[in-house]
Amino acid sequence: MSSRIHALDPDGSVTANGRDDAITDYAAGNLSPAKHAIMSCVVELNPRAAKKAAFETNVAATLMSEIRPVPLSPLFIGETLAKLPSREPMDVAANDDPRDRLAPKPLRDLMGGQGLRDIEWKSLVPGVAVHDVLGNRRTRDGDRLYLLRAKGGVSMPEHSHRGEEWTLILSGSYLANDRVYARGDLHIEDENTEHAPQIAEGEDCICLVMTQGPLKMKSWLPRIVQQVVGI
Amino acid sequence: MTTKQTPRSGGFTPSKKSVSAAKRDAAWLDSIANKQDARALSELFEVYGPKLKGWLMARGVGNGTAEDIVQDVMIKVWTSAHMFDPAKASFATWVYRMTRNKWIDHQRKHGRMDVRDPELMKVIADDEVPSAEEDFMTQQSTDILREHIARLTEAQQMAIRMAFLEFKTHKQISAETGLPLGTVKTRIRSAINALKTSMARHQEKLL
Repeated sequence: MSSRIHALDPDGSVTANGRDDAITDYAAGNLSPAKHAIMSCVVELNPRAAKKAAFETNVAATLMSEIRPVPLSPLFIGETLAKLPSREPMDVAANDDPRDRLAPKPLRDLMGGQGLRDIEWKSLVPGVAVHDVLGNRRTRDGDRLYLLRAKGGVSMPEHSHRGEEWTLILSGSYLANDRVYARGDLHIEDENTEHAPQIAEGEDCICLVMTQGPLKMKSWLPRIVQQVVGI
Repeated sequence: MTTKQTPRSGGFTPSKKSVSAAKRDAAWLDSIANKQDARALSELFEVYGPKLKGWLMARGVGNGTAEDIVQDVMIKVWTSAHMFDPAKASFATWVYRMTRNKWIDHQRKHGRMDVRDPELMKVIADDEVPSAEEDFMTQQSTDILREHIARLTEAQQMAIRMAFLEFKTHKQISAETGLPLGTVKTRIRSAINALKTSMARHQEKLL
């Protein structure tokens, strides 16, 4: 079966094969939390995607005026005013260490403000490790969000999945089905495709990955390990 | 639904109403940022609170939760009013984006099968401030955008309404309408592109 590959096009469409629908669903607030998190990071890393998202967010905000307003309860404003914190100058530096910039801000926020230094990696197969971002457990929608780190030169275990797989490349690069993916690229694989990305020599490749349902590993070793690390 | 309108020769002029609404919002935001003016915040949310609550409830959020989310947004507007730049965005878009992101946060925190360590939950992503996406549309343009939406074909309007007002993903729209997924994508894409072209043309006219 030929695998359908989607990636950021040089002309700025976020994904080839018409996957700009991800931007519309993002702007409208229709994505699951894991996918929304990935798109927030894509938007930070890719100015063209950001521009598209901004336009469609304007469309969404404009259409909001067509929805019937619902009055707030009488005590709402008063109760909220009572809860207002005193405003202190924000400590920008605390969440903006240059060494942490490898991780886009929405990802750092999800990880309690930390960057990718000092995080705990769990080994999947030699050269490949994972770190759960949304806490190593399924969300109700079945999505999992995790970081994946692969050493330069390794091949990822060949796998397919039951649902979609969204991969945002944060560092390094890999080759999958004759296409190179690098920082800021969003790679979406449909269900029922098999692929085995080849990590480029040199730098570690770190990706933010969303998968729906467990991966289907082709060989027995990763199959066993994945049960332990839970992807 | 009005789909066919008499074509007009000139561009649209923003109504006085929306220009003054934008000025009014900007003045309130400025007052909040520079004078810690709680009354300005109240007035702002007398206007926008019911709209945001309506949007959340249209998504199926219950009354109480919708108010909790609007309250979070109101507090967020209070603490980050200094980051609002009327040259870059209308307040409507800015506050919409905050509400959307709070709604996603809410789903993330409450959509789990089991609850996480409360300590970690406390520090998680509480400070989403729209920044990466810069708007190039002001409040006046919002009026014009609305006009252009009304001029889309019926099929295009239906598709973007299902996405933005019924909150359906492309797949859900396809399942519901029986249209192939590719057709849904094409309709939404062509609608967005038509709007972009119209808005670009409008902006050229201003230059």
